[in-house]
Amino acid sequence: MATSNDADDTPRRPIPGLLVSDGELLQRAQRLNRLLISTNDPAQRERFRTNAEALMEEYGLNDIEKQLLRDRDWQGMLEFGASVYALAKGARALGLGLLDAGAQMRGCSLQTLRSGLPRHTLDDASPHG
Amino acid sequence: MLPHMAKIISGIGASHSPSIAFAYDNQQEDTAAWKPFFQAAEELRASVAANPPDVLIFIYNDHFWQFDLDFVPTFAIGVGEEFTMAPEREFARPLPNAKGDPRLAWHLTRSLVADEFDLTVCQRMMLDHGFFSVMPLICEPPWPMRIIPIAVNVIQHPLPSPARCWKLGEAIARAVASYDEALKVGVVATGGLSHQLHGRNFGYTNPTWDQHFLELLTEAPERLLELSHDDYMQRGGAESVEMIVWLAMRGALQHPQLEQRFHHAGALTGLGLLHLREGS
Repeated sequence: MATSNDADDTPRRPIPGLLVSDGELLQRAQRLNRLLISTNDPAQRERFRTNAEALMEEYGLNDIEKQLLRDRDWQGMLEFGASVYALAKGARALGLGLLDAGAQMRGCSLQTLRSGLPRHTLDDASPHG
Repeated sequence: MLPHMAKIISGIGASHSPSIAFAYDNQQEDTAAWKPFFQAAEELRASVAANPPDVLIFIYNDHFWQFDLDFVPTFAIGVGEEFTMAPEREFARPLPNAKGDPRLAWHLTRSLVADEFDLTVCQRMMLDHGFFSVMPLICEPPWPMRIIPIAVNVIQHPLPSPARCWKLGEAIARAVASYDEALKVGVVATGGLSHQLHGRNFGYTNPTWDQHFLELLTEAPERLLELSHDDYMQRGGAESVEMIVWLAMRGALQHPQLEQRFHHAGALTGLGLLHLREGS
């Protein structure tokens, strides 16, 4: 699909799996986003690591959000409305890097993800069906 | 220009990322992955030092450190005396806070609001890697320049349009030109370049587009104003839409001369540096 404006000759097409970080979608996951962003605070990171269930209650997460978090389902959280920048904070609080979450979202191992960087080609196949 | 008025002397664009900060802090400047970028930064620092601005108007975006989703200003300006560093690391980075310039910041605020940019005005602002990963690329600590941060929302849609960012730069130029102090002012924009941080194409970057963007921004920026956010995202990845912040820097310049243009394909983001000198 070509876009309406051709400011350059760069080959491009819609990026498979791209999600727009729309405010109305982010608001749907506002409790989850608020919890993830609260891990800016080291004390909150510790609570998230050691007593996530209590934290999820405190932030009023609904059942969908709780399950996504228990499953560490980063792609699912994103699709539900978590901001990628909030996800990065939550992953870090659990001792994971952005690449760990990225590997899960790509459906591959961390090693496979790392060895493929930088990556300048697009993949169509969805690891998530 | 009257001799006792402020003047924009340069524009600088730079990628920002936590990984740049990490590489800087951990002396990875000479590793194969980072050497090209940090060598280019050394060149940037040298040319900035040859004719240093007194103040940098520093346009960037926050990543839920100063602002969270409870409160997202489209444009915000820092009018404080000093700006602290967001604690993004377990250990504090060995970098000083940044000094502000409240008098110029309030002049900018009055001028921009009169110019229909209804900024959120912040007496205190905590700055994250949108500022602190880039400032050491421009100059060595202790920072020899005062800064005025301007945050642009580029992470929760709807975002200001590319043309709106350009007009912000034009309004900044008008504000500086009407300031009654003989100051040399630099305008900095940070963000990008291409990166996609989610989904099955996590890690995708587009060096062809990154390089073309840097060329167009220098020589034919009007073509970048016509693009939609979607056009930017489909070229460089969803998170690369923060490249529109660079248009505000370019919009503040009238007769830019190319001093330095650099691109390197980083692991997760295109790494770019652009230094433009304002002609007389």
